[in-house]
Amino acid sequence: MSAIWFCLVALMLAAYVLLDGFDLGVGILHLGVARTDAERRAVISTIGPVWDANEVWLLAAGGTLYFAFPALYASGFSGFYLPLMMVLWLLMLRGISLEFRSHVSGPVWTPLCDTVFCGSSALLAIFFGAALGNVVRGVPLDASGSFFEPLWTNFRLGSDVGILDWYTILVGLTAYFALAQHGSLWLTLKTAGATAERARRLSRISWVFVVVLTVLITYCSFQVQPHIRASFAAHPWGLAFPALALAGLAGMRRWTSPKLASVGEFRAFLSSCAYLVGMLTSVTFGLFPLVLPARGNPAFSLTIENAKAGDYGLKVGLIWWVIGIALASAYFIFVYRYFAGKTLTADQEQDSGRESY
Amino acid sequence: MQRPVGYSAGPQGQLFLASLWGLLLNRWALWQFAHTMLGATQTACFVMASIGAFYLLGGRDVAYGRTFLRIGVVVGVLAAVLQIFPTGDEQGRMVARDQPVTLAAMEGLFQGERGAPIVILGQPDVERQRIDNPLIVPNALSFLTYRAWTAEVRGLNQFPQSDWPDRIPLLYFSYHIMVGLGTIFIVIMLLAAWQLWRGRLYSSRAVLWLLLLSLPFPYIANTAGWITAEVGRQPWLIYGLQRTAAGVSPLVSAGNVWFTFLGFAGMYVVLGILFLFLVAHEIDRGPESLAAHSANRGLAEPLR
Repeated sequence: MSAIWFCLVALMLAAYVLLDGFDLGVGILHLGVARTDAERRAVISTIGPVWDANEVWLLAAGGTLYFAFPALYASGFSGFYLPLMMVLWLLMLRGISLEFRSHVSGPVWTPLCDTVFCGSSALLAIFFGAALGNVVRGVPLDASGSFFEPLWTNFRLGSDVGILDWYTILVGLTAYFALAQHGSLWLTLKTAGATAERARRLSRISWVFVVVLTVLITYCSFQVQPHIRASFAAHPWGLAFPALALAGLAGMRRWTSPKLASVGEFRAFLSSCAYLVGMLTSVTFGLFPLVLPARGNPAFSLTIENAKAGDYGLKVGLIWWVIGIALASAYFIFVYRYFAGKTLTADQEQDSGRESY
Repeated sequence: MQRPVGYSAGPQGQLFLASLWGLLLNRWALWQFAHTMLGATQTACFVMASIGAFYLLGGRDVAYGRTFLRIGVVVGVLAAVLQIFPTGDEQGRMVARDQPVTLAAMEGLFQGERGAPIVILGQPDVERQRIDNPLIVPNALSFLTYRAWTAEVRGLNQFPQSDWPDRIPLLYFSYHIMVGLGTIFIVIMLLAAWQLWRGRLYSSRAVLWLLLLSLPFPYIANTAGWITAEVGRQPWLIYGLQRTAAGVSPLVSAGNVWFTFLGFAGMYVVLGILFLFLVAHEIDRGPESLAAHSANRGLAEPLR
């Protein structure tokens, strides 16, 4: 039962990374990929109807964590107190800059909103990556299952670690480029004209960074967290997950090449999804059954067994989870179908005679 | 204020869910949900009525202004009444039954007695355990709580001091502000509804001014209600099961909490200023200019 909930939480986090990932990526690229106000409005319109619904997956994952693994929730939310608060501030700033942008127009207001949107998206991507890095590296849990990390100490992987050290910064940078890539492929798919072409070219550049960083963090993760190596050695079938990530990388390269640009937009975006899912499932598989590894004494690690909630709750919760997720999925399918197709600027609309959202 | 139900306790005091339906059908949750939603509805009604009054008094956006006033007042009078009775009343009685020490602190009842009075005005003096310059209605608290004029209501003196909510003046004032404003809202809304029924609301400048100026008060009443609930359940984090002091994150230092508290305070100041600025901006633009703008762009006319 606790293994099922482990998979469900991982599934929800993966859904969050795929969905909010592209709108964070759009935010990272926003200032570069769209130059005129009309283009910027078109870019924001591609995520306008969905970005806040995408963020619900983070809340839902947090709620599921609280429900299924309360000890992990208690430990993690106290230990990651500082970065969690900062993530909240960034999410607030990002939401404000998106929603308030169109209320006032002017030479000061609009660029301010665009810059806040871009900066908060970039920092969020790095923070989420660093958070994942912290979980992989392990945290200084004590016998009572508590820990607290300052933002940084000496950036080394010693006994006194902070949220940021060279390893978690590396994972943060990987997340930054991977989500920028994800966002650029979304924009290639959802916009037209100069914006789409710029997005496609940016995705070719970020791909190189993603490949280099992926190789680097894969090597480092195996060094930093020996449990990952043990998991893959014990169950070689798990290599299917990294293989999926590799297939995603190859797919992105192929479907963004200039020759295939017109037919490959959707496949390139799907390849990026495959890459992200492959990377996340590799980590999840490598850590199982740990949910929060301890640095120092491995006996203090939180696992799916010592962090889980009561059996009755987990059983009843499964029924309601299925109902809730079925409703949410139906809604998501509806929204994405309703807003399917490219988002055009007013000029492009006149040229093509099409209506846009 | 809360009443945990549907749980069982493990050997080390951990709590487990024992009954899902018990949890979902918790009487406290149902009444509190209704009370909170009514608070939100009432706020929306006052905001609509206030903006409508603003347009009518200014002689602009008159058609919209009348719609806003009509909807705000008709729904608002219902919400204002239901807020106090039965949802507020029922909650007060649940507090009296399940958390009598909270009730005593809310009402400023230091000495328990038969035929307890209700304090309308007066400042609690916790050291001397009395209310300064009290303005009271005799026997009213007994009647409201137990539907009997001479019923005994237990006071703070009948409970160990360690179980008292630790911020009694804050609790007393936030509760009195909430109930006082809630009562005034009923009066305002009844007056406005009566004028609407007689067909005189749109030309009655005094009532329009009253509605216009009432804008901030539902927000204050909601916040005061929130403070009443959160301070009222002190010193418990989970009422009767876990003390607030036992729920503190063990390794998060006070300095770090100050850091995030100041960060949030700063963020909310900025947000509050932005909110006031943007709301004022949108009200000033008015619905007619927005409708004209949409008509120009060939979009459908908004609902009138």
